[in-house]
Amino acid sequence: MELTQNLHDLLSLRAELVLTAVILLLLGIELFSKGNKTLLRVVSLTGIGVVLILLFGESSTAQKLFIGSNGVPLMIIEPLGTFAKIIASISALFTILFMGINREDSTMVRREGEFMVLLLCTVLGVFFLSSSYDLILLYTGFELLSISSYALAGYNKRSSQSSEASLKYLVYGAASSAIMIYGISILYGLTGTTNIFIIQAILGSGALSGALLLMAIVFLLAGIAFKISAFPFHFWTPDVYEGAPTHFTAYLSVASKIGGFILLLRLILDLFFRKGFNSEILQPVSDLPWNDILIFISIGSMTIGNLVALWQKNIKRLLAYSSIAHAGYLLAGIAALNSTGLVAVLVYFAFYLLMNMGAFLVVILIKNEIHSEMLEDYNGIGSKLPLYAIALSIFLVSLTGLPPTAGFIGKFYILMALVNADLVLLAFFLFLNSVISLYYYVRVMKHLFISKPEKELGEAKQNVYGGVLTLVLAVPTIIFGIFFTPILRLAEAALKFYLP
Amino acid sequence: MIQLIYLTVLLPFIGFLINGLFGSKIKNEKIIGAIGSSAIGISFIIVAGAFFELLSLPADQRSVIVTLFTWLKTGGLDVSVAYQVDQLSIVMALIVTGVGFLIHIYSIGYMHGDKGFWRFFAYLNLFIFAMMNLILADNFLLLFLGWEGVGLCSYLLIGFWYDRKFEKSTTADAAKKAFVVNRIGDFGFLLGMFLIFMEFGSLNFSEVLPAAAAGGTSEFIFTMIALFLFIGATGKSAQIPLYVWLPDAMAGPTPVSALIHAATMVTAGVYMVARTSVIFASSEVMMEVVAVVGILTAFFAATIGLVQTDIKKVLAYSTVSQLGYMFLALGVGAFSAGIFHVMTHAFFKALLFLGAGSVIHGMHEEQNIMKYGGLKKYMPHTYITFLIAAIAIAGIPPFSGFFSKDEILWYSFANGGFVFWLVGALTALMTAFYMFRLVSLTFFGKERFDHHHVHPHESPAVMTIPLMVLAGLSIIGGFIGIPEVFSGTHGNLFHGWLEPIFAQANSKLASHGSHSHATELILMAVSVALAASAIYFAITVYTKKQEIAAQTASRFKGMYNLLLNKYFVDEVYDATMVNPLVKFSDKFLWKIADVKMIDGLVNGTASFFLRTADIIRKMQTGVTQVYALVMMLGILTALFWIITSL
Repeated sequence: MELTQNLHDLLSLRAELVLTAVILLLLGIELFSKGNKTLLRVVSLTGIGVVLILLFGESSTAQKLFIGSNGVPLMIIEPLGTFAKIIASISALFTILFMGINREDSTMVRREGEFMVLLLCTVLGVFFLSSSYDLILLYTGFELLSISSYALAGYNKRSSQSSEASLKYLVYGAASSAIMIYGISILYGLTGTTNIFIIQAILGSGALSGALLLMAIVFLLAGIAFKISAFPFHFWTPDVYEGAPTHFTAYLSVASKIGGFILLLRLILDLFFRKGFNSEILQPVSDLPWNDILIFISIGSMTIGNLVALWQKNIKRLLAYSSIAHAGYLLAGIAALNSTGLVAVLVYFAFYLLMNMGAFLVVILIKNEIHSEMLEDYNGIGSKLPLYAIALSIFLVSLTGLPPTAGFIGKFYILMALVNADLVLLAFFLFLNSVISLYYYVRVMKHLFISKPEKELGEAKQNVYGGVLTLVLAVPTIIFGIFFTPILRLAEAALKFYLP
Repeated sequence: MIQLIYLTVLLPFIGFLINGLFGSKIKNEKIIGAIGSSAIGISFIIVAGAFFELLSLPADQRSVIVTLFTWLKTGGLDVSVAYQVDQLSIVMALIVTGVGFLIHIYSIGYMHGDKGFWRFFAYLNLFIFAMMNLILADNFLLLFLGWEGVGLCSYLLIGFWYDRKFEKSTTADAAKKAFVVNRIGDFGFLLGMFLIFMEFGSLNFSEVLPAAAAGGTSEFIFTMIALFLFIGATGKSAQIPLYVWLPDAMAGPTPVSALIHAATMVTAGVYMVARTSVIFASSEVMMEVVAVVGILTAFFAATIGLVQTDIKKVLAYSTVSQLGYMFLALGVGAFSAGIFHVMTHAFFKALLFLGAGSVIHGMHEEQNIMKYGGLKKYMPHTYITFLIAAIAIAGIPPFSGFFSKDEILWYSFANGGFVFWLVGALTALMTAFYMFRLVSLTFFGKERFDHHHVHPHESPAVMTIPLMVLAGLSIIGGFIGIPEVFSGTHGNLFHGWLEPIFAQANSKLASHGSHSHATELILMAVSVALAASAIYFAITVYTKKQEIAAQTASRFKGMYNLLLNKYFVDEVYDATMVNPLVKFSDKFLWKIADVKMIDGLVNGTASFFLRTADIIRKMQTGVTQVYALVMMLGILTALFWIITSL
């Protein structure tokens, strides 16, 4: 009886099953067809397409799976998780498209199959992070995401920088993982279970308190902070972002982050806080200084990220620090601990996908032409490659959070959530940081359009494929700056089981 | 068709995008002109269809809101991009797209050969886009978007020939003046909007206006809201004290003057006051203010118009004066009469401007009427149509201007009192006089231009056909508003059509004593007689006995100079407001506040952050051990902090 039920539940994980099948298929193609590029691409893109269709199909349903003898489920398919899965899948889709144009290393082309398999493994990791309600299963998803990422960061074998990035990422990630699993083990020791619903019930009964519980929480948060590159666990970010192949950096900046954030949201919404909203503000199950911790990490991340970005001369490092700052903005939305803040975080993430992916895409395209990612070499690009330069400016303006771009709407909603939650100080820091960030984003535009190149730029031209891809990301960045209601509705729908 | 109303906003925008983005590549004037004009032409057809659909609906269902999407929803603010089709907006939409379409066609001829041809059509389409947003908006915010949009287009089009001289400075300066003066008005509008939101908690007409009608708000609040909104209206619709930009706006190409600075944009203020009539009607003081500002503007602008020698300047002051009439109508509670005059004025004033453009075109860009004369035989079509427009504006029955102007005069007598009527009638007399002074000096009498250099010629058909259509409208346009005294039981059709819009405002106004039809007929006869004699006098003086004009001018030299220099208002503004402000901003705001204080502060802050960042970035050594150390320190700090806070 239980076996048939479990089998039935397994078949309900349609997106996960399809994704796994695609991964196996890709491995097979890689082995037996000597890496037929076209076939690999068609299979991987179609596979992700099917997964996306399945995800959109189940985007408003909820289903409890693998209900154990104690009556609590191991996994739940529900809209918030599905939202994260969609974000991860879309970024994977773009990453594979970007891969086709990246000419950083000629040997990469021969190993495309390898890249795709590992990439889709990280997506699978995010899928498990999004749907699991058991700490062990969550940790497994977390590791699946991490370990594949370590390998992908070093994918550019010829570049010593890439290898260094991979190694640093591995060492640092392993340390964080260890801390996190330590936290999980403490929680298990305290409660005797790894299921987060049961832990929530125990915490809610008030039977637990004290330093040990707090330690567990801090350790859990450390692991998450590493994944979303938040202060003070952000140090790996610039080195890895710089060294990794750029299309993977793009992926890392979005999909890896959504993995960390979905875990954080899951823990907050289903473990450490009371289910649902009594009032506008979330109530923690036991007295913990949640606000303070989140605010501290948030302010730290945005300030460090933005300040250090001021000095960067390499666009990839600059965007790495910008991504640290954005982790801070997103955390600010969560720190509000109210319904507007949660919606704002999801809205921001959807827009962040567009603008960050877009920025890295243009970095790839420009690097293809000028073989450099240093800002001083960007001088005069504006007249040479106008479409790329204008698109990059749009993405940067959006990252700054200025109207009429999507980034403005995202930031506006986060600010409003903070004001609603009376977190005026945090709102002020967010605003101040946006002003600081304006400086370095605009500096890039200055190089693009105003500074004169020292030496004559060589042959450089825009290709159609790159141009179309750029527009696919740039046009929505503008349109969502004016007409953003659909995304807002999407975010509200994703949170429909949590909102009051 | 009503559900398609969003297309009338979208099509001009698409036209703007096509011509704006690719116009410089297309180059072919015919294609550019066809794209620009057809966008408006199709919009007009849709509006007309919507109008007939509205007609077929029962009177109480003639207000349809077409919601496109929710624009902003935060806290109490809920604003949609939604268009309201009702009796008032459809009339305005018909005027804007109808007259707009004719002017687009005309512009194909007028702008022929201009290097900025594509830019011109892109701007014109953008203007129609903004204007349609303004009049169709179902809430104040979207209206404000259109309001600012038309202001921007006005700025762009006044300065269209940015490299040309205009009077003592450049067209760019004229554009700047219009922009700055309008900012003052817009600021008022914004304040009004904030007050409305504070008081009623909404910006949607469908919520604010019924709430205002229901009462419960103090008259003081109503007065403040109405005052701020009216400041906005005086800016956009060129009323005292903010009218000074409109005459300078004539620096733009003539079709722009016709479309934006006569027929449509400048009536936005009238429309806005009419739309919010219930708020104005709730404040007795503000109704008085509107009426008095209106009549004063009408009167003073007309006196200035008497002596101007630039053909477009005469028409500009005439526009200011006629706008004053419209506000007079609103102020005495004759809202539908005001809108009626908006419509007839759009016909004959657009025609006058386009006619003037045709004359300027034929006279090689000469605008001084003293250098015209006897053009009748060279430009027969322009002459006939111009004459029709002049008769219409002078208020001679049965031309359109007669009906609308007389309705305003009648209501200002019935609701305002004898003084309002008298000043209004005197203004009408002056209007007739300066219009026929213009007609006489241009088309009659001796030819005063230099025959060797100037060869007057009629404009091409693409320009004269729009003139004829407008002339037709100027003749018959008034028949939809035949007053009750003539039409008997049918009543005034136009009045009846707009009745539901203004019902709530009218019920708020104290009912005025009724006057007999006999009084109305007598007053009508008097004003027509005044206008007719003024026309006769003007033609006689300026075609046959020019010396009378010269003698009068020299006898009343002081008065004449005062009028010629437009009461020195520009100079007074310069001396009292502009120059002190310029000095203050130069000496203090720039050299001290900006350079020393703000720049110093900003640069100081910037270098502070840079220096701090320089220290922080040293943490990023690239050595993994250091990273791990900081990470551990972070965890320890967190633990320490939390445990001590237990």
